[in-house]
Amino acid sequence: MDEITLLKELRADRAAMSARAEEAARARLMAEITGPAAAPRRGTRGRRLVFGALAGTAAVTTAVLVVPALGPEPLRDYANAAMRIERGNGTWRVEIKDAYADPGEFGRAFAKVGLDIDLRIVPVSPRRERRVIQVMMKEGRGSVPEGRTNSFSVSDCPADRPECPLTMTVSGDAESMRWQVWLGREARPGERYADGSPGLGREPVPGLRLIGRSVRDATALLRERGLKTAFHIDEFQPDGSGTAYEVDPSWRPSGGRRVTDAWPFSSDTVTLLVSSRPGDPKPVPGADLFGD
Amino acid sequence: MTAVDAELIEAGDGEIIRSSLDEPERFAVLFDRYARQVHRYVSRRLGTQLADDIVGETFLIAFRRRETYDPARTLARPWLYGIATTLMARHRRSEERFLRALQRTGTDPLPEPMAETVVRRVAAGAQERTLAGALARLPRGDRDVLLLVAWADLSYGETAQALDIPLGTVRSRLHRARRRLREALGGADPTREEN
Repeated sequence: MDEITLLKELRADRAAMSARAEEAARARLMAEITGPAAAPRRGTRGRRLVFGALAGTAAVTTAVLVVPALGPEPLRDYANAAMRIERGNGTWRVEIKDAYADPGEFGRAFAKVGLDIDLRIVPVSPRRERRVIQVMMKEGRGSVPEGRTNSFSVSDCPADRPECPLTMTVSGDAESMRWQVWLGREARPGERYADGSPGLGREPVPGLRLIGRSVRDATALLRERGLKTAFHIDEFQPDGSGTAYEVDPSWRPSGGRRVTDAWPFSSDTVTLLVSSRPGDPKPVPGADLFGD
Repeated sequence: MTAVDAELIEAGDGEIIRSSLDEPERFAVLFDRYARQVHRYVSRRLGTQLADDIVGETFLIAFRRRETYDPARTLARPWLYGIATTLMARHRRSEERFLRALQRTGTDPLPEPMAETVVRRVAAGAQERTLAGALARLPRGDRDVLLLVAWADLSYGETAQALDIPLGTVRSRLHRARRRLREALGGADPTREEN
């Protein structure tokens, strides 16, 4: 077997890009595409690309473009000191001067034009501040015509200033959908991160390998660094399906069990994931739940 | 599921990029076509987390630079891999550290995200470990050429285009890289023809 054949086998079993990562990358691209800097060279408005379809109540972090409903519609504007909302050709464009200001103010403004968008500022792990970490479409307020699609795009905060001007584009049957947008802010010491989840693919503590260690060793290493431990249990199947869930904070697995994943819980706590065994506790009500 | 405008299904990449100058949203078709394969390549070199970031950056940069793309080139794959390779360069030390760790311990330090798969990691065999060490010692330019050919399945011409180097340079770097790998593996027949 020659060296190229051997090389082709090295790491050949890497997992594919996760749906979540793909949707997040697509959302970033679409925010760039629909942003003001990407205006077409000429003022043409042709048929727009149907990029994807959103349906049901699945949580999504994505942005799509849709076919405009009918012909041009009258603009419906709303503006106050904090934001501006414009509607044209079946698309809403929202410009917020500072998303870190009073999110309740934005909800009232959205309601005035018939949109249901819940913008939440949530504490996140380092490096994710000032980024939109999740866009969810909740259950609709009415029925969506068969075959219609909806789209939502939103930009991250620019890095060069403390405030966060935000641009959202919503189209399709936006009035019949309920949207929830999570924007990250710096967490306070000990404050739980809203973006903790398995599958980050990297160790949570630089220079410290936790994944694969015993629970005993991992918790000892974290303790040496002044870090506490929280536990999640996974019920993942070999094909990747299944769930991982949060358990009562007082529960501790036996020291010999293996850590299968780890991620930051807060500035002073790391979540360790262990695979389920008979007798393990079930999820606590309202717990984090990841997966299918 | 992604629905694509019918008239764009058969369009070449060059046509897609050209039309995106007037209708920017058409650029998204390239993401559908190539994001996963670029991610797979970057993930093999740097792991999933960095691959997630680099793939996102790659398509943002490509979109911003689309006016510079030669529409006569019907395949954008080399162009996209070239952008990704440039972004990966800043992580060269991490990549070499991962490879040396694989050589030293037999365990690949590039973790899989749990949501995707449950894999029982089998310790890497002696040849894999040797290969990892040899890869770590290659000059970055040689490693880029070698892995674009071996892992991204780019042709020599596409690799030259991706890295913006002459075809002859691709051949010489590949020859040198393969010789070093062979020497590390115990010196297989150096006169054997390349495939």
